[in-house]
Amino acid sequence: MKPIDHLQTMALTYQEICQGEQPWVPLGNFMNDWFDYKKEQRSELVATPLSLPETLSDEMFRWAVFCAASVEYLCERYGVPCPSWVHNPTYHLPVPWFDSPMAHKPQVRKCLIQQTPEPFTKRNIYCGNRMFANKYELAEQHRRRATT
Amino acid sequence: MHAQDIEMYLADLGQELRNQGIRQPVRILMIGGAFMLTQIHNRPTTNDVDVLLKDIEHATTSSLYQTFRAAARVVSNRNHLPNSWINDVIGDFLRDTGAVPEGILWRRYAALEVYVPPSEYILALKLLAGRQKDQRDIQALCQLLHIRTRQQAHQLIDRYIPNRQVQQTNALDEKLDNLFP
Repeated sequence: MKPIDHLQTMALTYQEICQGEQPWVPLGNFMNDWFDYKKEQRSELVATPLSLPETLSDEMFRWAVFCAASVEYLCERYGVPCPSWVHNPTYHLPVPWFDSPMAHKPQVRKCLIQQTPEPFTKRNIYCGNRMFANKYELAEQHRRRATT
Repeated sequence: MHAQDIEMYLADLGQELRNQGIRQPVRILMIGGAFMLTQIHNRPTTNDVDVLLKDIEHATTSSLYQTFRAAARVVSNRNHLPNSWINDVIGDFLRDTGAVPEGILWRRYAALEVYVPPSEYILALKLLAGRQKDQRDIQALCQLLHIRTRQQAHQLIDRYIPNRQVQQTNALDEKLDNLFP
């Protein structure tokens, strides 16, 4: 486990993806910091721009765009000032990315198009709206439902 | 944390519970990433240990729960871990959502007993959650359990989370559409 003072920034998250980590491992660590361990330091978690490698594969570029979209989405949703680096026009995919194992099914594509938040769709990413679903908010929603 | 870290911190927790005067072992059910890491071995690390406390239904009024959290804090301070290194935030949701299995005893550390549920239960929870971050775990569990079709997946979920309203609220049909042909 990373030490208590470790900050899993989005820049570090992207760096770890480029180093070959499965993307949702560092993204999951980022989520833990954002939603729990470091939720008082959200601005710091997203402040540093991503550092793109010199040779950028299509997949690494796709994840860079995903990280930028995620920062814009999370900042909007949780009232954190959005860092300007995410608005760099570089962060836009030339070809749509439908992120689902069954993305070839027309009804799946339709759902992804309908449900994906704007910070992702405007960058040509269609991933639905559950990418940042997490146990902390689920537990909170459940508590609220149980008490009403 | 790696598998050996999980075992080390759980052993520390068991000893700390004993130090705090607990005689009857506290029983926890280990789920989430720590389950995948120690039982399925499909990933190298996890960030926390998700558990459900088997003998504590109302955390706010339970003195045993307060002792458990106090012992967990001692372990986190001693090892420079976040307080939620052992995380039970999802317990109420699981209890109210369906049938939580008893599980089988995996490890006993002083005043702590660690149980693990069947892999089928973990797959049911991950299918219900339907998150991108779970896709690799879902693949590994489906392979292990020979779940290949949407119907098989739905039957498995019905076994643990039979409440149709819960399934609907969690958009289960749509999530299965995303995962199975």
